[in-house]
Amino acid sequence: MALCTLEAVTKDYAMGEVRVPALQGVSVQIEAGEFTAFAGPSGSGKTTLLNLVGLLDVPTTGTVRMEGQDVKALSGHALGRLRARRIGFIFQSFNLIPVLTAFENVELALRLAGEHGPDNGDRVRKALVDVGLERFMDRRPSQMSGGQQQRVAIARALVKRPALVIADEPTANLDSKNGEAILEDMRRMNVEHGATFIFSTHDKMVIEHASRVVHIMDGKVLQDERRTPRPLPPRPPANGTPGDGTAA
Amino acid sequence: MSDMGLILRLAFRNLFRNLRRTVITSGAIVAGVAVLIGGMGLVDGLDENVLRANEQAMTGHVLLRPDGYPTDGRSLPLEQAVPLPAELVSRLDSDPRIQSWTPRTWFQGRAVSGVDGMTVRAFTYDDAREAATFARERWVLKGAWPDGPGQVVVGQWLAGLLELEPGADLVLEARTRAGAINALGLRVTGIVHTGTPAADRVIWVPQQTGELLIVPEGAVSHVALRLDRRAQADAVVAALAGTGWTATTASWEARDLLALNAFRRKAISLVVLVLLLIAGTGIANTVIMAAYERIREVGTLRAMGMTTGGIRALFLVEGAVLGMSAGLVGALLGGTLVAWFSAHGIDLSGAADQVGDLAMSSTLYMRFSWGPILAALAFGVVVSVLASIYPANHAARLNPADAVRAD
Repeated sequence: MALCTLEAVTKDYAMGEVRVPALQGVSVQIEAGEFTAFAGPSGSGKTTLLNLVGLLDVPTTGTVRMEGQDVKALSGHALGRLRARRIGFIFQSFNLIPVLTAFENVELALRLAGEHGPDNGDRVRKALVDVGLERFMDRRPSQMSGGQQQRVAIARALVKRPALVIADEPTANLDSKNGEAILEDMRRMNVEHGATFIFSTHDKMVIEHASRVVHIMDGKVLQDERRTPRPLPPRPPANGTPGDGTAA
Repeated sequence: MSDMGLILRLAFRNLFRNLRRTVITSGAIVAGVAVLIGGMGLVDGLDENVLRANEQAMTGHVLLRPDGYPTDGRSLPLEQAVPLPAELVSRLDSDPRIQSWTPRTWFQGRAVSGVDGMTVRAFTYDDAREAATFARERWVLKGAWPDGPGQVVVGQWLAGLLELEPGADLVLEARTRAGAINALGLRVTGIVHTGTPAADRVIWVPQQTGELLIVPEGAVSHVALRLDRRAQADAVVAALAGTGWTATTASWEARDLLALNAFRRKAISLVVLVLLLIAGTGIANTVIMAAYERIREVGTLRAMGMTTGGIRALFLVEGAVLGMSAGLVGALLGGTLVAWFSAHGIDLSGAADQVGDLAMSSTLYMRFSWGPILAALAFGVVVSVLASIYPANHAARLNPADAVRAD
């Protein structure tokens, strides 16, 4: 069974009295373990597609299934519960909660997922160690660089072991060196933990890391391309994070 | 999502994100709560002041008058004074709640000192009973209490007007109970300051001297009772019904002033209500600004699974925490003020002229009690939560797909 399926999905937005089609009959199937990029220029509909896959929005017509379940039949509360437990999010602007430390931001994902086990602390620490932030757990976002903040966001998305991680242009606000490092982190999570990633981008460097690229244009799928991603370099030393060391 | 610990943590920390704004917003709540506590402490203190002044110098806890005797305190018809019946005396002496009692025979007269003369009020008294019934130990006496015939004590305010000092002479003119005009030359042995302006405007005439001046033939116009506790007053009044004498409590005697205080209490409540409405507007503004500034955070929390109820609770708790913090500061300020003045008092002796014949103590002690403090705190929190409902609903209705990418 596919992890996520979109069948003949359309999505219209109302702009005054005019209805603007953002997606026009898109059908895509995401399998578990994929590292998929939705690629396309600004306004192509890739963010709208991510919103639907991430259960942040519902289609105007068509069907979105998450692990076989038609999401249109779910209430807002049930969608929220599903997002909390099965989907992790990584945003272009990191979207960390500024009044919480790195540790608390990651722990937040577990608490919102309803996980209050005694091993939560260990899970949070491990998630932060996996992204090389063992020395930054007590720092607030304002005390970290952009790259470090995005790593916290990755740890936050993955700590609850979600079925799917949605990343909306995760490297757009980072310099190329940090962007590359973030992508390698995401790739490692994909390879080592089997986490399924879907991300949107229009950056060629980012697309090189994807094993599948769905090209979107004017709200339609232009091409669905399976490809061999760029080889993953060896993991860097445990106590180093590229471009970090001082707060941004 | 009902993780209240998480919501409380977020709400507390969010208050410190824009500390200056939080402090400014809190100002009105602080002021409202402090004014409420201080104002209520002041009015409660005024109530106590009025009652204490009556009890300690004028009426005792319970006052008896012959049935039909005027209760307005202005007319003092000597002909309506009557001798104390033996049965009443027996009941007063046998009631264990009555610590002591003292008869007074009030009359009006004219005091002449040198070329100055003025209409005055005076009463005859039994020295031993008077000392047992009223708090003489709290009064300030310049000179001495009379110990022989032809001697009187004059209230401080009256002595000031007539320029009397201990040892001075005055002539007191009055009608006898039978209606004849009489006058006596008297020696002033003391000037008394009771702290109750109404009592400081009269002349104390010992019974022995009063017999010569007004010839009351044992008639008494008032009997003041001192009880074990003020709370017993209503029961004692009820027990003395049907004696031919009308019994009233000190609070009944002060009913006009107490009614005025009740009006003051309402006026203060109105001022506080306006202050808290202003505070509510400020809090609503602060929370709605917070909601607009944190659209992306709200979207992120929604994306991560926080329910609309959780978002609503987050902003409501933030408003409540703001109200509670500001309320605590206001309660601390107001409570400290009231506690200080309940211990040290406010000297009103400079305003004695304005007080006139009203039975009020010249030292006002605010009354400290936890009731107004807790009520003010609760009111501050309720106002804050009510003010946060609209912004909380606004935040909860945000579409997470749009909110996560808001600027």
